[in-house]
Amino acid sequence: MKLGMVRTFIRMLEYIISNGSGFAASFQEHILILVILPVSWAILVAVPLGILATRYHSLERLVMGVGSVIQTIPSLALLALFIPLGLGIGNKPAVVALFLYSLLPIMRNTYTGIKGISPDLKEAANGMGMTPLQLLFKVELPLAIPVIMAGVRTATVIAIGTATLAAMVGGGGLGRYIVRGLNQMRDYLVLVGAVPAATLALAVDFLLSQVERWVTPAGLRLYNERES
Amino acid sequence: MIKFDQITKIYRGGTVAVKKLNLEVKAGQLIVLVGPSGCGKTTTLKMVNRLIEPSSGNIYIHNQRIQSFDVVELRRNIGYVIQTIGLLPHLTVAANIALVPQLKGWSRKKSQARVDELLTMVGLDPAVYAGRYPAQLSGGQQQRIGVLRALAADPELILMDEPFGALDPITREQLQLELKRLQEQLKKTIIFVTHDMGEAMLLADRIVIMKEGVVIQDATPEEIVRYPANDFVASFIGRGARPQSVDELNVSDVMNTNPVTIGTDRGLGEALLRMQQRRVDSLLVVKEGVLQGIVRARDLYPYLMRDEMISVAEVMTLAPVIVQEEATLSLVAEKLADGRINLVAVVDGNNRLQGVVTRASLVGVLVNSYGNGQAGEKHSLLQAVGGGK
Repeated sequence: MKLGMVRTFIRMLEYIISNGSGFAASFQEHILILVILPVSWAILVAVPLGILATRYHSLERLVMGVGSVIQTIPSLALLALFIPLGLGIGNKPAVVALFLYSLLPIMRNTYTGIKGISPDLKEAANGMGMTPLQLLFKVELPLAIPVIMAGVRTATVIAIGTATLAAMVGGGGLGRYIVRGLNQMRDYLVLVGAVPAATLALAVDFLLSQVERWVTPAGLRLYNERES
Repeated sequence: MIKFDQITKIYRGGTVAVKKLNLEVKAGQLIVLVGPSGCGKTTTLKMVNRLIEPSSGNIYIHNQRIQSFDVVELRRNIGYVIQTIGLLPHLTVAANIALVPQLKGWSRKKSQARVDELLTMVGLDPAVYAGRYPAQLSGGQQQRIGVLRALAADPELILMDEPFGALDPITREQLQLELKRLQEQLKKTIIFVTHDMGEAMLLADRIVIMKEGVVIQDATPEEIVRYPANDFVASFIGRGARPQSVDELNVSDVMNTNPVTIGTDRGLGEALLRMQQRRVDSLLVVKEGVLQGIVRARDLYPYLMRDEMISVAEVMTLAPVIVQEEATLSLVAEKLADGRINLVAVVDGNNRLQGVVTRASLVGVLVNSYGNGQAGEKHSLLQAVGGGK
């Protein structure tokens, strides 16, 4: 039994080595097209939406509501939904679905990050004569950036995993090996997709946690350490 | 310099925070708004930098309606210090102080020079503190920076909203004295809000006592002590609400009911320790509640070097000065007028200790009857407090 697992694992490695260029292309597609592309768009959309939600109460309920609804739709269903909606098969429906999926964690964290800043601090900043934009860029965003980054990290890690489903709707990425392996009943081929995807998720999670620390202003880090 | 004209503030929900307030503050004055919570003092303050807009009435700065200024400009020209300090945690001390100068577009060099100047003014070495973050400072240091931040762009007017309220008593006093010193030097116009009458007395050129949105009394600290406008003010400044005639009082009204005592069988070392802990120089010696005598620090000294166990009973003075509970104040005053006596023990009919009267107790009486035309009656008390004829 154990020996069988080891053998499967070795066959997986053999496959990756002998099909190096094909594997590298899939791996790259997975990261660039299925993760970085949709998450980047999600950041561009969700951060401003999150900020606006802190300003307008009605908008908060709308965007958070829609975000939550999207989040509850099963991922495979969401992916498949875009095929009849005119996006066809391939990477396109997958990218759109991953983008929508990433919106909520980033939006919610932007919102809570800014809302979590002490009202006294904002009053002091207002009282000193900051304009609303200065308040946003000099006070709110610097103080909320660690929380926003945590949202980006969550969204990215979810996207890495969910992106393996893209192959189900005719897209690429590492999911291709999983689907093929399942169809051909070849367990090592499933691992060629699954193991790198899982490893990637863990590595990116660690990497982004470092980025999170790095973007936290030094004074804020000291402040949080003292508070806790 | 600043004038409130018929200012009223009604919050949504109908709470009337400030009612037809008229107030004028002269340049260079430190005026303290004081009153219990909910009296409208903070609302009044925040209407000056327009964090709160009045429901009706006008506020003028240099005879110009504050509504006619651009709100951002207005705020940049008014210093603002709040109770929770509100330093930006992600900025260094220097950047926090330089915030308003930076908003006003000062050059880097000019603001840096200003930061150094201000830090030096409160005795914080710029080389050490400029680069620190707020989280690396104590609460007192943080609020010093909070005050410096308000001073940074050299505004004429500074608003302070219970700035020292969150600090421990020792730090609070330090900062109060420091503010007083700074104010003597800088002569800013300051509106200061507090609920602490002692703080108001210490700092104010003028005190405005507020209650339920209206001004109860607006006068100098000395006038308020001498002529409180009503019972509310009197009780607020810590005086008895209804000053009694000295003749109506007897010893039990003024005595300290928690005298420092020691048992007859206790040792001298313990007696000395007790004096040190309670900060007194004499102890009343009791046995089962009955007064036996008094032991003074000077009675102890000759025995302390001896290497033997001596009890308090052996060294005490047997006959302390005593009075009965019902005795009049003038009787105690007469006894205390003898400079050699520091305290008078108060006992009941069975010689059980009830309390103690010192000169300090009599000062309390004097304060409570101050300014009520009782100079004649007080004569004997004054003599007693003076400690001799």
